[in-house]
Amino acid sequence: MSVVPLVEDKLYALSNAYAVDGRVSWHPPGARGVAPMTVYLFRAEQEDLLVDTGLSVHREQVLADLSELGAGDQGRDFSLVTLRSGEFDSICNLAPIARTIPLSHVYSFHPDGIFWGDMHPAEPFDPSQGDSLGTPERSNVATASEIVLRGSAARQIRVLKPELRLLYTNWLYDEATRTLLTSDSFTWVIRPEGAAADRDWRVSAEHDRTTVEDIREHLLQTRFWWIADADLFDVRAQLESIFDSLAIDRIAPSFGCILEGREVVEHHVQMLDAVLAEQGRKTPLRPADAGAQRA
Amino acid sequence: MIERPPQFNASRLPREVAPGLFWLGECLVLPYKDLVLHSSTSVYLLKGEDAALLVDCAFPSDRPSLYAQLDSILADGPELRYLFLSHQEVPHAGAVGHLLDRYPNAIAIGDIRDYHLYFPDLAERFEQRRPGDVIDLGGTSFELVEPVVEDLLTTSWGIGTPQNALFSVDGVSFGHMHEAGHCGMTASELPELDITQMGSYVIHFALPWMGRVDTAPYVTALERLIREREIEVVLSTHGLPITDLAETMPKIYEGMRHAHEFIA
Repeated sequence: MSVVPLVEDKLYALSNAYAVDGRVSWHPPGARGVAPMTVYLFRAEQEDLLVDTGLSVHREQVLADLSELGAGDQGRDFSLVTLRSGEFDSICNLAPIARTIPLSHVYSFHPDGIFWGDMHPAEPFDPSQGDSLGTPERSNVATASEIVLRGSAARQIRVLKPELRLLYTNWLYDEATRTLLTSDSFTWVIRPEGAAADRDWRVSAEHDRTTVEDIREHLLQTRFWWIADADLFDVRAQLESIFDSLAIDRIAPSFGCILEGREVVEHHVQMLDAVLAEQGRKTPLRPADAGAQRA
Repeated sequence: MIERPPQFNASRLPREVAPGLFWLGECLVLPYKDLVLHSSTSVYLLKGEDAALLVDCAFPSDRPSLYAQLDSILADGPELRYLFLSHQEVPHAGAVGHLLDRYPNAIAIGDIRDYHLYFPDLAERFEQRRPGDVIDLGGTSFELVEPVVEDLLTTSWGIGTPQNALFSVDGVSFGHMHEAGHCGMTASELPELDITQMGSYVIHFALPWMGRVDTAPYVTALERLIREREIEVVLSTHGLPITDLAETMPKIYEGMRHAHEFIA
């Protein structure tokens, strides 16, 4: 059982552990321990929205967790959004999930995105054999500003386009649970080797030991090496705007621990900004007003 | 049942762009503002006397046309033995599982971190290779080289010999226009294509970090690599093949120098 209700009946985390052993490129080469890959399930009255699909090695557990949660049951639609549609951890289990629970709607970077999940040779998607991934409606998340979940009171999930990104990436914000899903950002908290795999992966203020040095090492040795001497003025301005304007009690990344509680959120945002301020250019590469506009 | 949109450039591909070096793949349609752009999703085949090597593995959904293209080139051998993975992104490695299944004697090579989590049943067929490693195909070789521009820290580029071909992955990429008949053409065959502008779209979609850094050192490094390795053809995943370097590369460098104007 790897399901943790972050907010009962509204948002669930389906976290499964993998070893941080030098063979995973989204952690620094020298990092050791265990970390979760998490897919999230938003639940509304008439619709479940799954965020990403997890790793292939976790396939059976993800399917079991979705079954246990009754995803798509009781007349609810079952939809999927992929936050980094061109990367494997967003799509590894797309086809197995779609074959198990009919998809109503798929939001991805490209209309063809659902077919990118057809990556497993043991069970190829073969229309000529009558195979089907269902008939979901498809939307381009790159041009969306929100995803509206069906219910008597529509639930709006805001789609954000983060300036802090390596490849094409979206973040999501859910006002109902005050949760920001940040995909490959805020992913630096892991646990020591030997930590139980099926535990709650939330980090509270009481147990948080993360330092600025941890965050600097993580960014520079993984997906954000390029921040060194980069123009980050609008990156910092956008982060400030997001965290000033939205009520955020929880940062929910795709991998690494979930940052739980306002105090932890504010601390990690401050530490991230400190690293960006330290690493970024001291004068803009682009006209300063362009950065201000994007903020 | 949902259906894929039509495929686009299969009629012109595969093409032999240098002796023993073939261009395969399809186009990806990218709506951008009021334009409908095409971005190639190219893979390249190096054919030696003893073995063949595929540079990148395309989207999973491209494999019907990819299989047909491979069959037409490899009908008389040699065997496809190597699948070079430039980095862990679906347009570059998405079909690797299917290709390993179709070619049971092939192995996937490159920086193989992460793949054990994506393809656990095939993990033993991924083998680590690093820049500097050379794959001998018999009269033809493929060398992994450090990238000038990377998508991920795991990215490798490659050089094919004797063609003196640089496989630049997402670097040196640029879009093209389907309606103008650009699909499947080389850059030198399309003098009207605004390569500098079309390069900006790829930077916007695929390499936004380049818009945040001083790109002059990257231009210098690319010029040096091309000069020192006597490169004669530049083959990217998302651009059209560049066979006239003196004419086309200055446009590429110009686009790189202005990358900070492109991200939005």
